[in-house]
Amino acid sequence: MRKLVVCKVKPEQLDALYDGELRGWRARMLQAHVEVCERCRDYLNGLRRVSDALGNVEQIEPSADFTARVAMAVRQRESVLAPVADKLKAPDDVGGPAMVEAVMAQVRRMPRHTPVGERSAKWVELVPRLGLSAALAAIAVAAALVAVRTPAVRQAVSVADVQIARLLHRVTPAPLATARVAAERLAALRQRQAAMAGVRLEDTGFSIAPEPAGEEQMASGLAEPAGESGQSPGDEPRAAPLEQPLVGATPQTTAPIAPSQ
Amino acid sequence: MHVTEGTAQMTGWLDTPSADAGAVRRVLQGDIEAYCELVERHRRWAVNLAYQLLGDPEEAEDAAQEAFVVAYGKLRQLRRGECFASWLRRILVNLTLRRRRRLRRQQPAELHNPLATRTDEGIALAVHQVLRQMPDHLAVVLVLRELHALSYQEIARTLSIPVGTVRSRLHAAREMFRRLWLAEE
Repeated sequence: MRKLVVCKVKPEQLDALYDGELRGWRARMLQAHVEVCERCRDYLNGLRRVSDALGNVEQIEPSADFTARVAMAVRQRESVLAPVADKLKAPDDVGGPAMVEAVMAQVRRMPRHTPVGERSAKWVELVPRLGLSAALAAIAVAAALVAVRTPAVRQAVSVADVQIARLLHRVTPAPLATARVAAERLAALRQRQAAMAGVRLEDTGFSIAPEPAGEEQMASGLAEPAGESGQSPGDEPRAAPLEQPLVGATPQTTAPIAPSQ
Repeated sequence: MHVTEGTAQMTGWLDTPSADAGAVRRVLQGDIEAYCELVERHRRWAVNLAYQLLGDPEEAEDAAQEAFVVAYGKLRQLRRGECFASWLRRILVNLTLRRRRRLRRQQPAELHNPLATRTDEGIALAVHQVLRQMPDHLAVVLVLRELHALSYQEIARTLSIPVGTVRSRLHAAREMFRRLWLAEE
């Protein structure tokens, strides 16, 4: 009497065998099973039929001017960013782009699997988009970098500082939502300054100075972008003070993060 | 193995990651011509991947171009230049799926049976129609595996999902394709 074979093979395993994803003894055992199991053979034949059907999709050739059109779009993008890059000159003799580049280098050096890597990378995009003084943009990047690398601070990232968001929004062309994200990082940084004590910024190539109190200092620190946006410091009540960016392209030793006001 | 050499060439098996890395480095130094080199190298599979998901050559070309431009803008986020192709694929898939959803809203699925003509063109159209009827998350897995010969690991990386999910989605996708294809026939 012929012995009945009870097949317990899962279809996913047959898919894996078909796709060459099984190796070694697993593949050999399953292959041996398929030879005696009609059900599994039928299933594999079904997979071949799917592949055959999909093989009917024709391939198309990109148009002749494909690359030229991409190049044109890329050049347009560059020309749009060029004026912004000029504005990224810091108030002192330190080049803003150099500072931003230092931050970008820092982002690139972050561990590959940093869970917040994408978030950090977002800041790199943000820098040219902000279009205000490089100092402000860079300090935001630095804040984000430091914040995401410190577990304690990471927990506080959800804290939003609406006042700073409004300020960033007012002095930059950044959308409020974007500015708000920036503010979140800064607010988190301030709130967790104690936890930040051991965190060093020297890798970023610049440091953050203690924040001077008062509206005048803050206004002077942002004088350039505020002027560009056609606003005077007295237009409306200022928001809470922002960490003053101390523009320092020469790698400096760690400076403490500004205390919150 | 059911993957042809032609498919392999199209999908980038024969990529030259080191050449990509060099080109990416030059682009980051401001050399736009180096980016054109990358576009030339990868445009064919990019356009075809978009086409297989969208079923419309013009939309596919637009999607691929958009992906290249977006990739240029984000190039500094790419940590390893030799991974340019897989990184670009990820961007392209995201943009194409967004486009696919928009197209689906604008153009409801056609009801005629292109297989009735029994021509090569009719069969290809029928395959596109079936792919279009499938949910995005299944169609994309099926296309990446069957038409681009990506490993489960590569698909998982492209879609940011676990390998186990790739396995189950691929099985579901094949089942669904088979069912819809039989219905077309």
